[in-house]
Amino acid sequence: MPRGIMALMILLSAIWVIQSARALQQGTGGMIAPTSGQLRSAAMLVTAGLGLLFGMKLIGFYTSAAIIVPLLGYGLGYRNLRGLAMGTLLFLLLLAAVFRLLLAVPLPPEAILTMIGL
Amino acid sequence: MMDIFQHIFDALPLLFSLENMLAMVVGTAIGIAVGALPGLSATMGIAVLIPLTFTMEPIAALGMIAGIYNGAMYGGSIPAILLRIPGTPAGIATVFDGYPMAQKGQAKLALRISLVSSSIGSAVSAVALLMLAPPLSMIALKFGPADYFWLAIFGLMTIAVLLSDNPVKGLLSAALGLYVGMIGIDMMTGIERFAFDQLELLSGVNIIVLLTGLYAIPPAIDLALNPIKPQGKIQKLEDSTSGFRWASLIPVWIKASGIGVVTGIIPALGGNVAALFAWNEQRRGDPDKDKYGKGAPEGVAAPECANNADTAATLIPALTLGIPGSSVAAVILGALLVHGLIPGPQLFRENADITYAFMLSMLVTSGLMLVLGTLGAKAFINVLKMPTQLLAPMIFVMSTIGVFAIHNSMFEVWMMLGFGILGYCMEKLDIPTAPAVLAVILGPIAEENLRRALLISGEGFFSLLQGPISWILVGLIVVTTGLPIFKKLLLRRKAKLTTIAPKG
Repeated sequence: MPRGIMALMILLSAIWVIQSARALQQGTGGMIAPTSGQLRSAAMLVTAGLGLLFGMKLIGFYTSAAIIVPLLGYGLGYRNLRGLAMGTLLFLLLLAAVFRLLLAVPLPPEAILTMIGL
Repeated sequence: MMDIFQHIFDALPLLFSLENMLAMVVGTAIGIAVGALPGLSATMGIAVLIPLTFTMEPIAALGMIAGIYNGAMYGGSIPAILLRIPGTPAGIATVFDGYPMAQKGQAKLALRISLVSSSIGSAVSAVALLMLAPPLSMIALKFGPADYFWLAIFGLMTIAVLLSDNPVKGLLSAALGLYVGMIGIDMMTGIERFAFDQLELLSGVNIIVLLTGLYAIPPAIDLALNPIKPQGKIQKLEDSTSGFRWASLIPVWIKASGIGVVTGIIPALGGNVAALFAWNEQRRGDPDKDKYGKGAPEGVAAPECANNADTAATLIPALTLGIPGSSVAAVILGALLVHGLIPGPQLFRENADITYAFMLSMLVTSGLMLVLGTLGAKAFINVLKMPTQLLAPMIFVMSTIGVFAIHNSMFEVWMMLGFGILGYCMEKLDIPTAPAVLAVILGPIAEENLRRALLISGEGFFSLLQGPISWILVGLIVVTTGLPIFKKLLLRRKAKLTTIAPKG
């Protein structure tokens, strides 16, 4: 069965490649051309994503999220600082209420809380 | 029939506990808000919020999901009417007459018509689910392993072939799903498949990891890369709805709910098809066709009623046969699995109380939607002001913690992100993601039943074609797969004829 699926995937991919090559030759195929702004946003998204995942282990989930959410929001073009602060605070309070109080998900310790002895 | 009513009466008290009611109210409110946010869909909302239901009782969890589903379908009409941006794909047809109504100063009336029509559509759909699913599950009990194998193949082929303009892409997506569904230890032989010696992959890919990756991350990436900036101002609600003749919409609701229910049952269609079809049918059947597209109340009522009438009907094949006909049904199926409920005919026997309570919650949330939509109209309109640039990181953070909460595994979080990037690339390449998700669910069903059929009969592959149900299903597969080829041939013939015509 696994071999059959792999063979099917290869066959379908080959057909798709031929279809795409034909479409490009006939000039009917579309090209994906991201703008420089989109590339910048994509780079920010990747950096923020890595920052959150690695930061989660190093400084804790909520602390990482408190840094990443407003920074990424600002980077993506939302410049209302009050809105950023309020939005992040309310969102984190909601997350903490659900995942800490309700679900009691054991997340990596928050570095700030450990430093002050909590 | 009496059995059905007995089960309904048994489930009613379970549904009306404080916890369950609260879950349904919260779910409906979240659903309307999610639907109102352009770029987010019911599928995405449910996928992201499933982890919140982990510790809930199954009835409360499923009630919340029912609320999100129904609410999101209505919520999609809010930006469609006020901003000319459909909140969900199912809201596209609402733009045609909803926005012109708002421009004429009838925004409040348009929203009210949309809300009432959505509630009626949802209620009709829930009644259809309650009445059709139990008898269908009785028929499904007669299915043998070979029939189940063909049924799974039929579900998969229909979605793969009909959901994409290019069947090859749909089939490729389905094959990818079959591959993912095979990851882990084969339960029959104990052989490791595609686990690459990774301990975390031995138990397979968790369905929630896949669903969150494919349905939550791509919209978040899209919102980050292409933030939605409403062009005009949000239309004000200053008009009155008191003079409107609601009775004039009754025939519209009857026709549109019928369209919605039938569309919902058919795999690979969905709310957007139902809404467009209902709007078109409404216009076609009206002697005054010119009024459509210029702010006709019937042009708002028909699509909104139809897209909500699609909701519970979509769950009929999912709950009775375990065969989801759409991506949202697949996500709900995933939610059932999370709560230890195995979809299929046995669900109505082994977990009748929970199943009937879930179906009833689809009905109750349609009423709750009417109440919440009326009381919280202004609050839901304010949701439109939410900056999408802030929404993208929030979805990302929420998905991360949600997936981490399943097994406290960072491996699964990375895997979710991998599926997210894959899903985004698939969307950009016009490869539908729904066949992949359905294949992850249907692949193991098809494989297990194929093996069982072969083992029981001992007669090889011919044993797969011995019963009438198998033959009917094979016939349906041939028709479904042949449909795009037939359509292509017809188009080619038409093109040939038009090129010959001028010469003659």
